[in-house]
Amino acid sequence: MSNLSTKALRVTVPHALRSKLTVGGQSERHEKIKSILGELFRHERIEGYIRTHDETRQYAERLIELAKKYGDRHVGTMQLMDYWIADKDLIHKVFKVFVPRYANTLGPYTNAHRLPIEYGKHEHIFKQRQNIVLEMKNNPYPRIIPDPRNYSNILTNVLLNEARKEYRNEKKLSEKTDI
Amino acid sequence: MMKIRCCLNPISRFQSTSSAVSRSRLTNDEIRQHRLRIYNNERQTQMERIRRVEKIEIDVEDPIQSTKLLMNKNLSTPYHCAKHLSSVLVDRSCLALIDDEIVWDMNRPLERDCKLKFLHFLEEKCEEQNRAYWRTCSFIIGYILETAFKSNYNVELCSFPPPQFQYGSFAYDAQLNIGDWKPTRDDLRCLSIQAYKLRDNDLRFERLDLTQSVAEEMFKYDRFKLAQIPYMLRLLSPSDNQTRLSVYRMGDYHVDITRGPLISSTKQIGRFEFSAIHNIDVPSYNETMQRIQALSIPNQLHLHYWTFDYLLERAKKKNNASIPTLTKPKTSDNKTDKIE
Repeated sequence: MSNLSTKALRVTVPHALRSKLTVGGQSERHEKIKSILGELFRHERIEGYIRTHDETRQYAERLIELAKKYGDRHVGTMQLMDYWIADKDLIHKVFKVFVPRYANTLGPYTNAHRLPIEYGKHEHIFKQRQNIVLEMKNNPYPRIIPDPRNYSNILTNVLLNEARKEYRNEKKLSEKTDI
Repeated sequence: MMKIRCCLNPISRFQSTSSAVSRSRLTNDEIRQHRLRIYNNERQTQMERIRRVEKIEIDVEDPIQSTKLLMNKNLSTPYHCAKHLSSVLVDRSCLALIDDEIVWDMNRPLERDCKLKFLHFLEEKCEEQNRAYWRTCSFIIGYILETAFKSNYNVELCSFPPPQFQYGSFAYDAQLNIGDWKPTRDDLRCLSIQAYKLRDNDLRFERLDLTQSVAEEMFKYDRFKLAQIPYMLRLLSPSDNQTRLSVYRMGDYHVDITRGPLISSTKQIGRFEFSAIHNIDVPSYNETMQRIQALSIPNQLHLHYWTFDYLLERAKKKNNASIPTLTKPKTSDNKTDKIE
């Protein structure tokens, strides 16, 4: 507003990353999102095309937020759940499994990891299709990205730690004598 | 320069100015062969005591594959179990863990049904492996000292202190009988090359438990070791009626007294560099000995040469680990404080 002008911007601003689903209109879009939501809540880890799945991610997060905040007695929440989740047993799952699981965590309840792009898998052979893995956090499967290993006890690190300690002690001593 | 054979061509003979105490007419080589001969005989007798081959069931727990193996009692070692499973385990395992609590050598025969796990150097808890590795490297210094010098110099090995990483190096204490020899950088390099030759030969470390009489026969020409034997005898198992001494043999090159487990084979040595030789006063034996220090990293761990040289500079400082002392064991598990 003030003396800012786009001519002075030195930061690259990326284009919109991906467009929303528009094929078939709003109702088609809702159907697609509902089916992907159902799969996500049922299987807790699914793979699919990045555009559809990244969009349903927002819906999954929102539903869980509402479930956490209002509980299953709230009329509005239940109506939303009724609309967006096709299989009614998954509504039970949201309240009985996901809400207690994420009771103490903030922030996204889903993770999305990009998968390698495989050419030649679809009808258009040279088209690239970015797929992602969409998973609920803390699901019972083994982690996609394994926990970082602790290498502080291997011999090289032990020796380097000792060397570091000695260096620091000597530095302290020399500083003391200087003062 | 002239004293280390195998690497350098002596131009002229070097006369030692100070008096070297020659304890016997035998050379280091002959004494070493004597020890090896006694070891082989004792091993033969112990093998013949196994009348029948009994089977034991080993439950191997590996994160990749867990299996049950049927192995021979007192004959099969964890190394043989690893060979049944995969070559990765064979190459990288340095120690075995029995029933999640006892650390066992890879080449030591198994005695009963147990659960087995293989330990390598890149784990979360590798204190045992690190200590075993440095203990093995101290053992190797002993071998190199006995064989690196020319035959008219008589080196008497004493013992080595337990591995402690805060001092930045592992050491071996020996009476070099060389007078005022200060090793140059090339001398230390020559000694290090001997260790690399051992690594290429892929020698296995085998353990043997000796009774006092056999031990005294074996170390008959080593006065320091003879003095240590009564302090090193321990009851190895509750069913044993005699205190025994544990002795390790590397390939068929060298035999030495050491208590703890050693790693599986010399192939697992990575870099091995001798760093310095310092004089130490040993009141127990009433002599001034030399402490030969070195630094080493296993093959499985990678370290940039700059960082290794930095650690090597630190390893050149005098290692203040425990000096060989002949004290009566204080603790209940009969541990003397000079050798590991």
